[in-house]
Amino acid sequence: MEEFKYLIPEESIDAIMSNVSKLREIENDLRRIFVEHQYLEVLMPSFEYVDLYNDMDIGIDEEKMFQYMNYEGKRVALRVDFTVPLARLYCSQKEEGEKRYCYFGKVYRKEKRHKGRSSEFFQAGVELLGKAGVAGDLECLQLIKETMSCLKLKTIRIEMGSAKFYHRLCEIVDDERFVDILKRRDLTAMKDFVQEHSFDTSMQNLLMHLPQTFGGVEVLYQIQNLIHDDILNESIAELIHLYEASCMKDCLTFDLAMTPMMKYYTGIMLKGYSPYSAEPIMNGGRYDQLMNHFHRQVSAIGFSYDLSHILKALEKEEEV
Amino acid sequence: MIKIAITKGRIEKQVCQLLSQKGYDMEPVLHKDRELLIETADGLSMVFAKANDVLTFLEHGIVDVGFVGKDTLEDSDFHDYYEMLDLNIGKCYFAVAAYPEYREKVFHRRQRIASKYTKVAKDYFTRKQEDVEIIKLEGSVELGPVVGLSDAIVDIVETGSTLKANGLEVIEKISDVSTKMIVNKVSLKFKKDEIFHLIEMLKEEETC
Repeated sequence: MEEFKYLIPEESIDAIMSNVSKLREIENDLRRIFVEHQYLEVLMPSFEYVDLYNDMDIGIDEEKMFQYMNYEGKRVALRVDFTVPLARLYCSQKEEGEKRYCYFGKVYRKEKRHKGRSSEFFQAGVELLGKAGVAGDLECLQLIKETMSCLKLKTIRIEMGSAKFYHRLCEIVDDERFVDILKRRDLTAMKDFVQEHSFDTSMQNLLMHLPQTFGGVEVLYQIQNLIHDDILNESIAELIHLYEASCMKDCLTFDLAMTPMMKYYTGIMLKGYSPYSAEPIMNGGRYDQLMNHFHRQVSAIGFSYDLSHILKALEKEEEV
Repeated sequence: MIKIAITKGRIEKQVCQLLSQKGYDMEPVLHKDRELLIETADGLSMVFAKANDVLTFLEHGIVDVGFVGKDTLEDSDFHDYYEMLDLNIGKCYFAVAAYPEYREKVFHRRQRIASKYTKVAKDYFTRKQEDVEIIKLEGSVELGPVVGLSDAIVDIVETGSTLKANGLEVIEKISDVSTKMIVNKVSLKFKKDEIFHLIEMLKEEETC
């Protein structure tokens, strides 16, 4: 067994040594701004019941969780996400009205071996609970705007999608194959799909255009002409309104083909990109129905930065 | 500049031929010797790799675009990419194949299925609510029934001549396979115009 002393398990990520001070600097800058805005920092537990995540139907596979059976014979997992435990916290503390939480810590998601993937992600994020609609969305966007510069990346693009638009579209199309085609942005399959159905012309056009309906705010105006459904129009109008009110017009883009990464998203969805990261550096969205699982009706929105991806992007950006 | 990974071999030949028909300057590729990375005059940077590695490079953002067979995509556990275009080349299909007697045979034990595509095989029999044992073979999967290792195989079938030469036949077709253009999700956002230009160029082929 002597040789094992020098190894780390394949699940582990390598120790981060060269840029820890930079990471802590980013973390502290973020913390300062979060706290200034009345976000309470919460140190969350590392272990959660698998059932908590399963009941919430968040869309993360069980096989991605690091699990063990505890003394009760119940399955316990290393934390895979912060939003669900924080929603539970809000409900179990019997909180009412607005509540602001922020957190810093790792989430753990199992990955296949020998793919160069990481199983640990260092996240920094906020949850804004009890603040509904545009007011909550705008507070969130404002906070993103103020914290973006802490990340020290030269190029960041923030992208907004709408889960409301997505859910309504799925309802209209009413064919389960649609979600998969949209997720893959499969132009060939979309063409066949549209030909198979007898949608009206504007709907056909909308579906054919959808995979490339992303970019600046102009894509929203262009697509508006193709839409004759009230809810779809409303969700686009909401995005345009947020854009106008956001005061971060220069870095805000849109993607109407965005599909919810977490199943619980109901309103706007947020993503942040760096050209030097193959994965989004920020994820977030509105989730107004998650707390129905606790028999509560609470509007909420949150986002988190992935500091592991950001650190890697920073290193690459410096190389160039 | 778009970075592209192309599956070596048959797909490489077909895709490069297609690109060249579409007016892309493929001279450096046609005259390549053993180089694995080539840049063309049209601002394409190409690497040539084995099918699964094309996916790995795309996943890590090393390349923006990949050309790879649907067979590889279906057998992989990584799905976080856009599968934007079916190039309608390299067409074949997944099938269960065995000796003709297999159709009538009643098994009082778990069937053994040999395949290079273990996930595809497993998923297919799971859908049929059949519990089978999958044995992975790396090549010449037809050997499975021939040497008596397995009752049937799951493999891609192009002309069926190899099956026929060994007395095997297609029992059931599973799904179609062709060459796909896949795109890294972040790349699409930062290189929208370039990538859609490439798509438009390749898409026209469909109508011919």
